[in-house]
Amino acid sequence: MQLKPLASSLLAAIWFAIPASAFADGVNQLKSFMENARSLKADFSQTVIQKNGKKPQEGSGTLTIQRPGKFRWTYRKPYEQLLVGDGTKLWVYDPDLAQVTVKKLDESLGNSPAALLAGSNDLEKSYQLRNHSEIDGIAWVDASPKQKENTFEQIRLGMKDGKIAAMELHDNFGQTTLIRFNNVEVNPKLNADQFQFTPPKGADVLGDR
Amino acid sequence: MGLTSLPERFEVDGRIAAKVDGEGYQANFVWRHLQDGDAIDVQSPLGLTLGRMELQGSTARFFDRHGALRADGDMERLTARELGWPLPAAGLRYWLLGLADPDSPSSWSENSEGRLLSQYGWQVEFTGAQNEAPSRLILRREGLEVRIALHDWRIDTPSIKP
Repeated sequence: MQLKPLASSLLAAIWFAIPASAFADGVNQLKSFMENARSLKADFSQTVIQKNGKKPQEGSGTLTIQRPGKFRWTYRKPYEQLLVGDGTKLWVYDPDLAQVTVKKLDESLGNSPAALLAGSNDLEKSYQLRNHSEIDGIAWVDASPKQKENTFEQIRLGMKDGKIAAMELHDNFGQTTLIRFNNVEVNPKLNADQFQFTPPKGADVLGDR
Repeated sequence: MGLTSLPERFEVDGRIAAKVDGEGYQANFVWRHLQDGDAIDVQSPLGLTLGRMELQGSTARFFDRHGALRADGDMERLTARELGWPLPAAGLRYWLLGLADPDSPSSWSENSEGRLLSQYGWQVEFTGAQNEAPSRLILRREGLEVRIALHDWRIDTPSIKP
């Protein structure tokens, strides 16, 4: 059946009235997010699920990212742990162990979620991106590492309203890490000093082997 | 009250920091003790598995982050090669619980920080205590210090089962 001009323009009007995010697919949301977000601030909660169905490990904290290459990933629960990427080095601080380990950022984070979010715009250089599904308003994108040298088999990124909402990582031991991002702020003004790590008094600072 | 013998099964999450001749290493781990052996997953803070060790009797196996078997044999030698520092796994399954391995010579003493155990050529210092097991351990050997923080114990003792 051929549509009459009026009907088709009505259809067009309805079509264009739908907010862009409602039908922008996950891959497009992710790409424009990576293009536009120079900085990021969010709370996160993390669930690690073992293959054998043992009790999941729960954690939570906050993160800030200044792209490219700078991030501060703070765990508050179930224990304090701080990861700071200052652009060239990664600092890991564990207050309970009173130890700071510092290593070169590229070798330690080459393929971690922090590097993925803090890294360059060009995700497609390292990952094959594919729309997966939309569940509860989150558009999931499968990112398969092009390099086989990866610690994880598969990453899935969840986009909502043009922002990162979740990440799901599967490692080679059948373990799944699910990270949910809340209170996501895109392009907030961030103080530069939070991406510099000053070792606390009394902590051992050691280079990684 | 402390444990007096190794429970049939236990599982604990922890973090480990090793200091070897001035160099450092840090990781998270999950230790699972079952009746027929132990499995230790070494993880990054984000929960990704960087390696798995399996101990059964006197056999030790190490799987790299791709899940491939790297080698088998003595665990201290294996971990020294794969991680850069030796993990005294044979003793650790007892030490984590504040116990000494009953099948090997050991001696106990005390200092201001807590209890001290000498076994397998290591000095083990236990500090902090949760209900049944220690929450902090420091393992020392010449040129090497390993600190361990434990949380979230799941201990399954047959005697307390209904």
